[in-house]
Amino acid sequence: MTKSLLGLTAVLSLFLALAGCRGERVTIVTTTSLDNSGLLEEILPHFEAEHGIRTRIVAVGTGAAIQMGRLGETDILLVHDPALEQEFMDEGFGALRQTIVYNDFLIVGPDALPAKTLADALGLIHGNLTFYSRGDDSGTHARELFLWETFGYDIDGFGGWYKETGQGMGSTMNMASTTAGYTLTDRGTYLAMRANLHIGVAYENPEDEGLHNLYSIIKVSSEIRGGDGEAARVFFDWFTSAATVNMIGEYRVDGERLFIPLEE
Amino acid sequence: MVRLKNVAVEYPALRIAYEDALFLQNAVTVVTGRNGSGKTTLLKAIGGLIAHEGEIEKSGFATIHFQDPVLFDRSVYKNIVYPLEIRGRDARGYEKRILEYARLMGLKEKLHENAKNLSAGQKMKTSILRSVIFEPEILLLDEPTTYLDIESIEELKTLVCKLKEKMTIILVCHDQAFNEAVADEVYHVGG
Amino acid sequence: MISEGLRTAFELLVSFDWEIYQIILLSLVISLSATLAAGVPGVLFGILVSIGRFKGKRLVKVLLFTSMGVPPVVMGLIVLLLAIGPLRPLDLVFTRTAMFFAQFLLVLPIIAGSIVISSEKTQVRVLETATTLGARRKHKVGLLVRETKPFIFMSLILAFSRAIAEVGAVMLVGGNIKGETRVMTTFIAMNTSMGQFGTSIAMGIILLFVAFLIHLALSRFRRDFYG
Repeated sequence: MTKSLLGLTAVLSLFLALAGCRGERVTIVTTTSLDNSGLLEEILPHFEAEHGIRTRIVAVGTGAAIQMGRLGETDILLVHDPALEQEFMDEGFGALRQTIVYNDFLIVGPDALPAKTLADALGLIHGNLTFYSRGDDSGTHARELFLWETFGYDIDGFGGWYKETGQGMGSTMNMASTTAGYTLTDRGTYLAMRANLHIGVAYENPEDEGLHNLYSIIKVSSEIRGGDGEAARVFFDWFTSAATVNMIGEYRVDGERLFIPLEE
Repeated sequence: MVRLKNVAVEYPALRIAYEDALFLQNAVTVVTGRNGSGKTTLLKAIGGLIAHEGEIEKSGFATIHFQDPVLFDRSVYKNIVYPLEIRGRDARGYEKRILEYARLMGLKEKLHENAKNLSAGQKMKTSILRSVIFEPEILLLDEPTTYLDIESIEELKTLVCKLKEKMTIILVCHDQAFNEAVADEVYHVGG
Repeated sequence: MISEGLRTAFELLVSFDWEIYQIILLSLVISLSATLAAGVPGVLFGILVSIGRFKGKRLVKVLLFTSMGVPPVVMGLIVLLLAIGPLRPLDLVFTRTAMFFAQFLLVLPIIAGSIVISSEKTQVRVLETATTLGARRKHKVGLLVRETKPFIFMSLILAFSRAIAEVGAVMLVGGNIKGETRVMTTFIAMNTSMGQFGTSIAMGIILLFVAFLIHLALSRFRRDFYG
């Protein structure tokens, strides 16, 4: 009696496992910043309803996201690091890529910085104010380093005022909030966390291209991922369609628009 | 000597009452009774380890040697002199006596070995010597023949007979031959 | 990937990269000092609970055993909230001191609890024997500590192992700040979330290796444990 019960359980489990196979589901790896903004939670149900394909989101740092793409652990990448993305495509890991929206980075901190330009802002911070860096090779981190370098700073020479946390945007911003420090963040994460922070906008300039944060979608090549890539293709097309891009453009956090479609 | 008057011990499940008695000085009293009748409990009460009703009058300090004794993590010798040390007595003065007893009980070779490494019987003997070396007025022995071979039991008989000249000895033992050989008095516990 | 990790581990160790050495050193210093600091109060409390006869002893034991299982991340949260809140003036937020404090609180019940679990019965019997031989209170304390030495040793080893292996508390109260509060476990967590699995595995191997070395060294001194 027990033996046949066990056998039945084994067969059922196998059946269920196989039923959950790819084809019914699209795995999307995205960065913690995008996940924090809440956009995906908002728009993905539309996809699932329209196409009957389930989605699964995994949020990690940009580095891990690209790595997972390389390992074929996901169907789709939603990231915002053009340099790494290009490398990914050049090396043949990605089948399709499209940049669709952007938002901006801004500096948050306890007080608004009396700065007219980004150069001024960084100048006020350097050597003076406690600044938290992501320090985790993420897209935001890469941008932060790029900005320091652009204005001629030598990062290796930074003293104790510069603190590398090696963690995600949420954690890093929390640390800044807790200790009245400054940090560079993407607008999405900032808006999502605004209510719980003790810090606010210290410097922003949505017009400054240096602070623009470009989001792209990549479909991982089916050779790497396995399977026929059909569901992933459907998702890619849906995500890049005018209707969806519009929906993304209309998405608001705390009353503010967050993503700006490239065409605008 | 030990005098019992209206003594009883209360456990959660039962209450053991003991007949009034006078355990004589310089004598060996064997406590008899069935398993679980309260013999060990009586020893513990006399030894002051558990609470009891009634009066227990004692002529001095009472020490108990337990059936499964706990020896300290040190040499046999150091175990034996422990009760002397805590009383501030100089162990050197007792060296001769310790050697004599050790020889009597066949422990002489083991004196400087760690007590944890002894056989069960040797541990028993060490505990007994530890209990007697400081000359307590009252000696309570709980199943002292456990683990002892025939020779050792004979040695124990000799020791007990020697010691009773100085102490009140009360013991519990299931070895009938031993009891008959050493008992001056018998006290029965239970119905 | 494991062989890549092994190679990276070796490279890291001989690289003379001060950052790596600093991380290893900080892990050791914080966990070791927390364990040693908690040693005396932990052992004393463990012994007191073992031999004590008082009302509410059962509740105390239940609370003690429960605290042994406090998730490190919860302890981290508690200490972080203290540091941000009432203890603000002490400037402890994201500091090594806070990490030490969090681990101290973590291992204290582990030391006391393991002593109770492993040696309560032994202690009661040792105490009983001492009493029947005429020992007074001042003798008993020393005797108990002597007779429970192996259990004390074991509880300290256990505590240290837990401390150096945990990531929840040190991450929350320390913040994994490079050069300041980054330790082996937070380093591993960080690198994993960054996708640098090779580096993570490498540090993981180093962590295991450090634990191995410690036990190897100790085995020279404690034949009763290691044979």
